[in-house]
Amino acid sequence: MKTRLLIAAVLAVFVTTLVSAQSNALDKFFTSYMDDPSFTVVTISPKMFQMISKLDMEDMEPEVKDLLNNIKGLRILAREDYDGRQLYNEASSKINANEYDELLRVRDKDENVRIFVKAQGDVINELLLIVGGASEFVMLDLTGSIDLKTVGKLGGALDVPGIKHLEKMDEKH
Amino acid sequence: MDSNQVRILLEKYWQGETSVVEESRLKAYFRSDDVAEELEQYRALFQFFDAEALIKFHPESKTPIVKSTTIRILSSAWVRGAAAAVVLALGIYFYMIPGQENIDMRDVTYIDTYESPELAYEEAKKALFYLSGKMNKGVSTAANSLDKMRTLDEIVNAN
Repeated sequence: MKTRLLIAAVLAVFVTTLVSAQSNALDKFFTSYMDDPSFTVVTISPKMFQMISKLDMEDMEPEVKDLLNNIKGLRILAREDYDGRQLYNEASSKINANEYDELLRVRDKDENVRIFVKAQGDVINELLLIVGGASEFVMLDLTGSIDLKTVGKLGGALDVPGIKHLEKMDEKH
Repeated sequence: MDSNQVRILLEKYWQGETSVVEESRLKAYFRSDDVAEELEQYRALFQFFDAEALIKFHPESKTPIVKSTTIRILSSAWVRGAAAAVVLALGIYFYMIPGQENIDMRDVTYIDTYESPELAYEEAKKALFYLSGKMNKGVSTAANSLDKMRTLDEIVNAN
């Protein structure tokens, strides 16, 4: 009886540690680089987002404000003038496929981009962007409910299908 | 032994400096009938010591003096197992919860970079535009292949 109990206890501890280790792998990644001065680190807490939602400035775009009202946390880890491809691979390896769905992946000659989302039904609770290029690395982690359509519209017009995207993109660049 | 001697001995006794012989003399004095009036107050105390000394431990006694019901309940193996299981389940439950619901508060990395909400707003806005740019870059890259384009539109518009 005692042995069986002991085995059960050890197993339970092992399993819980394993599960939490998976979900915290990204946090560990973030924490391990946030003290490195060559990285740019930006963190905005849920409390600060609450204060942002009460802000009333003149030049606030309503789309941005709406988006930010639903966002609870933001973390950015970035490094410029640095070959970010290795870090990109490292960050990618920390992502638990059971937790995140990959929204898009772009790979061209300049850089790799991956966007992951953690979704419950139709609601996106977390978005993770990883960019690794020859001269930069960016990891952006947004928590809170995120309206992708509105985010897409900020820089272009995602909801218009077809080749129109390209025309708009050309104007921007 | 006159009351003065007793008083000196008592003084030593309170200091814890009396010898065994002196203590037995004190006890004998308070057991006797001619206790000085001013020392009468201590008689009860020494009588109590005497009474306590009479209590004997009987190791041959069959029935245990104290056996609490709690001990008896817990000694049943399956109850013990069940209790352990409940404790474990509760432990696991509380251990897992923070990782699921309070995503935003889960770790120390959410220490604010900015003290003013205005600055935080500007940075968050920049981050959103950056993200938007990368998403659109994905779209434009995918637009090279109509199939991929459609998939992406479906994904994005589904949300």
